[in-house]
Amino acid sequence: MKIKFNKKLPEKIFEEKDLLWTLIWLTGMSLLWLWDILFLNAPALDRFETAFFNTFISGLLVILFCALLAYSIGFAFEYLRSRESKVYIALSFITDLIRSIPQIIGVLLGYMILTLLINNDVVSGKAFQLIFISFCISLFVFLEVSDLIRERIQYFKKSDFYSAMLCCGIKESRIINREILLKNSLPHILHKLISVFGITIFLLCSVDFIISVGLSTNVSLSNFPPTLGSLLAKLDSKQDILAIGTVLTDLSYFPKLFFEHLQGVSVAFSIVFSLLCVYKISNGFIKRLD
Amino acid sequence: MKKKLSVHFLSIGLVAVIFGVLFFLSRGYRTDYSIEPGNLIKPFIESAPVNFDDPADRAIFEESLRFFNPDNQSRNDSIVEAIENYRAKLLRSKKLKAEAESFKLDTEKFYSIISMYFQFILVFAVVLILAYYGTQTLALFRFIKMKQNKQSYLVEAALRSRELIKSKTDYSSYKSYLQILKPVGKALLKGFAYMILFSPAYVIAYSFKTKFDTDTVLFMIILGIISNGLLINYANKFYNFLLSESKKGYVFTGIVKNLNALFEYGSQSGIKPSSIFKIRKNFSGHILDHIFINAEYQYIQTIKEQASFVITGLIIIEMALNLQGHLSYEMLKNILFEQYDIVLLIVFMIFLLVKASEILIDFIFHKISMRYENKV
Repeated sequence: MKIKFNKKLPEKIFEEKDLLWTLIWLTGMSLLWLWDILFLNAPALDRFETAFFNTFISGLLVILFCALLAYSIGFAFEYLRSRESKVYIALSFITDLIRSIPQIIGVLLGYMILTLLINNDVVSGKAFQLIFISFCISLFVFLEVSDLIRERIQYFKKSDFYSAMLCCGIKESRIINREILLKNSLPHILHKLISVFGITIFLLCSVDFIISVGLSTNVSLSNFPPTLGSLLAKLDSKQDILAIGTVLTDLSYFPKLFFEHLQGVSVAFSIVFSLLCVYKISNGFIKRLD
Repeated sequence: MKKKLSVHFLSIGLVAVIFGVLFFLSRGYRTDYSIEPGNLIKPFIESAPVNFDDPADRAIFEESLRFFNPDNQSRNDSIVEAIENYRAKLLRSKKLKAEAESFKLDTEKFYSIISMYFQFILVFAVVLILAYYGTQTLALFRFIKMKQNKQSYLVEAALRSRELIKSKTDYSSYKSYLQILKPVGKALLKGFAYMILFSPAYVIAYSFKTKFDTDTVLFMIILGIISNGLLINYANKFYNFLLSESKKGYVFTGIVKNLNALFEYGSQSGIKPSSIFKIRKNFSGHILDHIFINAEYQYIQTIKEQASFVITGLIIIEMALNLQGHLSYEMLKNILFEQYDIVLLIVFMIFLLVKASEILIDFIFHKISMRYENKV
């Protein structure tokens, strides 16, 4: 039996950069994982796997929360705008206020609230903590998606098909949900959500790094679920990162990075490589839309 | 503009009221650092005439426990362990209380925070200006490269390798290999640059430096610009504006009316590489000039977002690198010692900075819009 090889598949992957970079990311991370299985000690490998899993679960949760929040707020804006409601003014005011709070401050405030809840035994369990953290992050990043939803609705409302459908007796909510958002805007929203995933990894890792470095030296406020950021803040990981600087003065030290300093190097590489790939996937995706 | 200004001032007023109330409430709040011994050890701590700091007293105490309660050794061990834990907690609590005292908000502290705030504003302004310049330059560079239809370095290397194999040229000639190695080298450099641009500030900082002092403002500015994906993400946004402008009708009209539209470097009707790097970008006589002006106008509103992200980046740098004597590190320390009045003050100051930059950007946008609408 002859196996037919589809010659168009590699070409397709090469031309569609989002697919190419997804493949690059998956290959890169799989190779790193295999390398770590071979050369990283078992406890460190376990820590790395848990941190990686938590970080990416949190990223996915933020995407989910963002989509829900953005849809609700975007839809509410459109509903209230056409009715010239005072709630509309209040809602715009609140969203503008959220926009004026730097994301890192907002997320840090979220962590402070979580700490208080944990210390007062209101919440417990790593899963809940991860969900809470993800929700806090999504509160400060969802506006980009919400703005896009509003833009798309307003853009299509000016088109003839919108008035024509209203004349035909089709409900406004159905036109917005089905015709505008689902049929004509889904790829744009997906593109935005991919970017949100990148922002989440960056924010989560940064806040966890800050908390682990700045707050845990004297007082252990709470034990948050380990992420790539908190793992990078551990003393042995930081020493591994410092070793990268040694290579600049002593090139012969370079191979040691991949054996003796694997934990920190793996974590740093995972963060940076994932951010780069998410950026490329997002760009490739929008290019394909064009 | 008046409407926008009133919304800005209203939100400042509202936040000021909320923070004001929280500020005065938090001034009454003081962390309770007292530690209570558990029921198991309470009688020994309160009434036993034992100095637990003295090793001899501790040994006698353990011996006494064994003597009076020989059948329950596990309970004796638990008592000893619980006393040790209690003493450790007591020591830490005393230390925390002493440190927290030095974090109280008084006039001296207030002035010190104000001075840190002005330093933060200065660094923010420099980083924002340089990041804005970098954003435009990088986006233009990418846009021109796209217009030149240049393929990626790796594809170029692959094509040259294929040519070399097909043409059956002299394989011993180092020049033919150099032609392949050159784009590979460029691709590696590009990859390295990407890794730097996408690295969070703390990854770069810990890779290059082991100790961070208060005189690291220059280092902070450099990190603020190149790290955290700031430059690459906002250059991408500017690039998208350039791209969407280049597809508009006026561009084709301009080309028909004999504006230069060649994007090659060096030729008479092309682009001068030096004009990409100028502070005031000018491509007079070229269609890119019009594309750039329109993209720049649209990008103004995005600067608000960029300003907020610059602040996020600077906060991350100051906190993650434990830059003592800097505003964000001060905030982190005060979170640690639960001095929430100072935390609220610093957060409000940062909020004011974001608002000030938003007002300024709205004002600039309004001025430029008035000019374009012939209302000036």
